[in-house]
Amino acid sequence: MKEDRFEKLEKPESAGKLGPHGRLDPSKKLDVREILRDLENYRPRRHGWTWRKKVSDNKVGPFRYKETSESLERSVPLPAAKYFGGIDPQPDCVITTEIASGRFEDDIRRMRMAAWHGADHMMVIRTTGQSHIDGLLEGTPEGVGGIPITRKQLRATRKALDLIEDEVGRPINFHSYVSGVAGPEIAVLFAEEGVNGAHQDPQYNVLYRNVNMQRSFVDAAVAKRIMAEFGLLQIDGAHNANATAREAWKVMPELLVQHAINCAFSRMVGMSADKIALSSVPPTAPPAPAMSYDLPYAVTLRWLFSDYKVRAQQNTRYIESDMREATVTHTLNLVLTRLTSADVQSTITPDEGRNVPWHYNNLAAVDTAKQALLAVDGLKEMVEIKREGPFRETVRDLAERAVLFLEEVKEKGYFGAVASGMFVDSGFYPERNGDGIRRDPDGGVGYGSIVERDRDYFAPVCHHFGYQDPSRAKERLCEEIGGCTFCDPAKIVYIDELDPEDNVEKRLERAAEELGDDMVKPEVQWAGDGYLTLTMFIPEPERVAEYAALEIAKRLNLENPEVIHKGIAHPAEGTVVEVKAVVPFGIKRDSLKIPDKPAVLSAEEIREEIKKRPMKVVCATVGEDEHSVGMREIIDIKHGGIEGFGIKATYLGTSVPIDKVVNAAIEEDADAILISTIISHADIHRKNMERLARLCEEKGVRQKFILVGGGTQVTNDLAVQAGLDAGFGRGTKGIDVASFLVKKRRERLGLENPS
Amino acid sequence: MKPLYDLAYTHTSPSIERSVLLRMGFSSLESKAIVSHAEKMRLLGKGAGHLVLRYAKMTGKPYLEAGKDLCVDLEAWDDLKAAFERGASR
Repeated sequence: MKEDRFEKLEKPESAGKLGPHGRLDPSKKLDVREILRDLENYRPRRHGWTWRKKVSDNKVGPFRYKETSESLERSVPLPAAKYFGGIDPQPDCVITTEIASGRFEDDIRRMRMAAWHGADHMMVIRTTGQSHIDGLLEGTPEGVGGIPITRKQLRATRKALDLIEDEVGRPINFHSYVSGVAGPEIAVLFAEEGVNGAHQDPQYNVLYRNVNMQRSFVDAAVAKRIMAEFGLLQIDGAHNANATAREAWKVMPELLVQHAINCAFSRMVGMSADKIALSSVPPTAPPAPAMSYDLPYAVTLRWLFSDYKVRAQQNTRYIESDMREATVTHTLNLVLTRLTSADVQSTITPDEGRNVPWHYNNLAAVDTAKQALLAVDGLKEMVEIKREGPFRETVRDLAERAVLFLEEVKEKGYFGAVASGMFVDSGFYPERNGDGIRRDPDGGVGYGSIVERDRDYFAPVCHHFGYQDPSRAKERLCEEIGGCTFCDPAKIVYIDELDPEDNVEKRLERAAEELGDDMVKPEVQWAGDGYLTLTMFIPEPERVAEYAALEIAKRLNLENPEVIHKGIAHPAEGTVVEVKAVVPFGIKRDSLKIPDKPAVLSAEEIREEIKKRPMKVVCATVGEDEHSVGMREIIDIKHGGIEGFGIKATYLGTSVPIDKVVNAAIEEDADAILISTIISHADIHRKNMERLARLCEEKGVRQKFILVGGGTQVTNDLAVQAGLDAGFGRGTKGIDVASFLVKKRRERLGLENPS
Repeated sequence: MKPLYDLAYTHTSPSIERSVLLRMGFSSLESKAIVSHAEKMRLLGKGAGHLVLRYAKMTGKPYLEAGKDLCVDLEAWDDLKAAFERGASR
């Protein structure tokens, strides 16, 4: 159990135990039905936000890191980790992934994958339109572009995350939105169900959701007080101006003002600075000279708000369908993070510009963050931002413009400033373009719904912001009802489902009927959705290429093909097209013929055998092929190659003719011939292997030598078909080849092989 | 920021009052029904929790039961309104 790791965290008396199955088995899929079982009695084990445990001088594998945190117990490291002993250092900041496919039962599986890749902040986007629903939703209806936030959905997700955090060995923060016209109720729900962080910013309601401004601020005060009491991390909504304004880089002064307004209001109602995170995105992206705008802005923000936390995010405004471009911008943003600072590093999936994010793109984004942050670990020990000259002037200029903006807001009053269209104007303040968002203080969703509290107003519950009848003051206001749900969680009313059709049980039933437990089908967001992508270069102009690509998908019998990306290679020469489409069948798992993995002998067994019976091999990269890296990896002792087991290898070099290889092997009285053949153009790799086998037959030495082919496009089947004894492809290690050679020779000598 | 703070301090809203009822142990459906009646009767300024406690006292029922009555019983609301207008002791 990992309980001890969390022992210092607040554990309310109501802290529940783990799910009935104790803990997750890394070799098994997450069982959604187990998560749903006995859910009415599940209680979160802790409340509030958890930061990573930083380790300032962290020795991981052969390296020392300056900006990392405790490692995970289970994880998927970056691909290149295999060159460094499989290490998976974890950056010091919390890493976010945003997940919301519309079905929480599929999202929790994705959360598990994301946690293994290094995410510890699961941000759940709400379904379209929930911010205008005046009240709470219940059950598990399907969402559009996000999840309907309900008690059942929150509880099931929290329960799954409790199991996942035990599996990876690090607390996971769960997050969604306390906005719209049901903010106070959502805040209660989040507090009760162990949600750890939330977006909360009344300005977001006003500007982007057209919620009445009085209602937004009145509700926000109550919601913020509850969040403060339960230690939730608040993320504000200022970054939305960047994603909305016509010329996003010109709203920089206003962004600083929006942060200031939400910070000040939050502090007044009782939130502490260390629980307030400013949501900041770099205002530009390439081909703009991004760093020259983004860096001074990032420095200004951190200078003016040094007491607060920073949540760094990529600017979604500039994400098109090109995932390469999105990833490069993300990486540059991560360098910006390390040049300045971030407490929470958000990740935007590279397919954000195409569709609701897919499973593996969440993982790609988390890996991008981990990869870039580790690459520039300790950067500030080597590089310093110039504090003099034009940079300093830019920072000062931004701060001055922000102060002027704030003064004008003060003069007009906040409501007056919004009514006059001061916010999200694309002019670089004090320049104005008149295209700002205007909202009427006497209008918007929920207008006229706030009521002045009477002198005898009373609410018999804890942590309630605002005026209460002083004559009823007590130490705990909920004494009058024998305890509120915050003091006695047993009082929480759990509603399972309201809609007999639109719920998780029905969806699971349908998925089981349509797919079945024994069927395998590709998936991008929902179980059994069947989506795959085809990437193709079509040597035609854009329009022709697009329709040719769709026709190709149709002729492959794929359903619902849709072009999700086009990249112009040249106006006439061609276009790169990516198509998504649905596979109309599943594969029965049991029907697959999966060959057994060849058992590899241990290093000791191989060494002992070679000591007993020395072995000589002749190796070469054959044909007109100058690739030597792969073969050297297989031979060299320093790469764990066959020399390390005592095998004597003679390497003849690159571009060696086949007959020279065979002659050398005869001269050396070798036991085996290893050829590497990388180039596969015109099937040359197959032909080289066939030529080797044929030549050995002609010279009467086929039975004398063990013949092995290797290369990135070589498979064992291909090599055996070509007449060799074995073939080895990508990812082969020296021990695989050494083990095969030893076993094959024993077989030829009529000796028994160790199992 | 003071005017915004003061506005929030002295006002309430349907969502705020539903959040109070949730904390008292009512379901979201019950909270919605009670607050919607309170709005119609122009009693929201008393606080929805206050209304429930007052009605419980008037009827001698446990407050959760009294609240359930207020979800469906329109006459109960007339009685409650009258009681507040009389300014009877709580």
